Amino acid sequence: MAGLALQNEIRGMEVMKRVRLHTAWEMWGAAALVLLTLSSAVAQEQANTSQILTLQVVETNRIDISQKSLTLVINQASLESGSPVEAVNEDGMLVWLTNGENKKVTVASNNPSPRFLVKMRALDITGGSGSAAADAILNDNTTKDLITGISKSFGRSKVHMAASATVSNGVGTETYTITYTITGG
Amino acid sequence: MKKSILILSAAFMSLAIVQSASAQTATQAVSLTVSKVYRIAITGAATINMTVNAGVAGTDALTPVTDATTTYAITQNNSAATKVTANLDATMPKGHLKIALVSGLGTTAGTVDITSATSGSALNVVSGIAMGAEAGKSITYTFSANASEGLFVASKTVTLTVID
Repeated sequence: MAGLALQNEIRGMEVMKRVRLHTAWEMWGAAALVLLTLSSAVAQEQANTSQILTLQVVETNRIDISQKSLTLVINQASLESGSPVEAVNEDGMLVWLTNGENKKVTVASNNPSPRFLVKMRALDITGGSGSAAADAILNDNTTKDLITGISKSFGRSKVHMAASATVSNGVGTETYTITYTITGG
Repeated sequence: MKKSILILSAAFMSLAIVQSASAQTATQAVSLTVSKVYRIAITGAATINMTVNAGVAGTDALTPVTDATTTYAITQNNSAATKVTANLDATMPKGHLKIALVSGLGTTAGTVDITSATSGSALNVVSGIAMGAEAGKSITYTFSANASEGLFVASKTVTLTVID
């Protein structure tokens, strides 16, 4: 008789446990539903619109020389040889910019048959790239390399310019227009 | 006598019926709700083309270009904490893109660099937007690049979002 009562009591406890478990599941379900509803409401509280931009960078080359005009005067001669001593100027600062690759800076004189000799070269190159070429001798009006191997960079350099003459050149004045160009190498 | 009482009773009953008919009313509960409304739209060309093609010798930064050909319109009836954010579809490996929105209802953040702003890191461009609506407010884009970044073409989608 006592055993039967104990069995009934155990069954009752199991039933209560199931009821509690079921209630807990229902509460969790309700909580999840509330959270889902709230998150939906939050997600709706915005609006957006879009626009397409096509962005392009095209090749850009720029070059400038600080010294727009200069005068070289040959007025001394070597005591040993008697030859005139060359006149030098390094005050000009050349600056450039390119976003292209394999570029160079060239120089050209407008004088096809100069009486005196003018030589040029780049000095103290700074910037991302570029190397000084050999002396550019402006003995005609063709284009000569001054700096080579410039790619996607900006830079600057001094310009060494030297004028020389021989005794047989005599005396006189000549004017040159020198054009600096940054171009494909 | 009985006849008089009968007639009088009939008259009272008729009167009661008439009074009852004229006093009929009906009520209805009407619930009015205004939900949060957010709207934003861009007016102008579907695609904007911006090209960098100038620079200064000796300087890495090329000359930036700007575009202010488009405008936006906004409507919102929520709190004054509403804001507009901007982002790109993907970050830009080269160049920089900035955006500036004019606002009458809110406070503009000025020129904002959105080069690295994506949907997960959108940046505020207008904040504290009061309830109401306004249109024709200009959008200004600024695109810049350096010479050392070389040549490139990129198509970017800019998304403006109004959110609280």
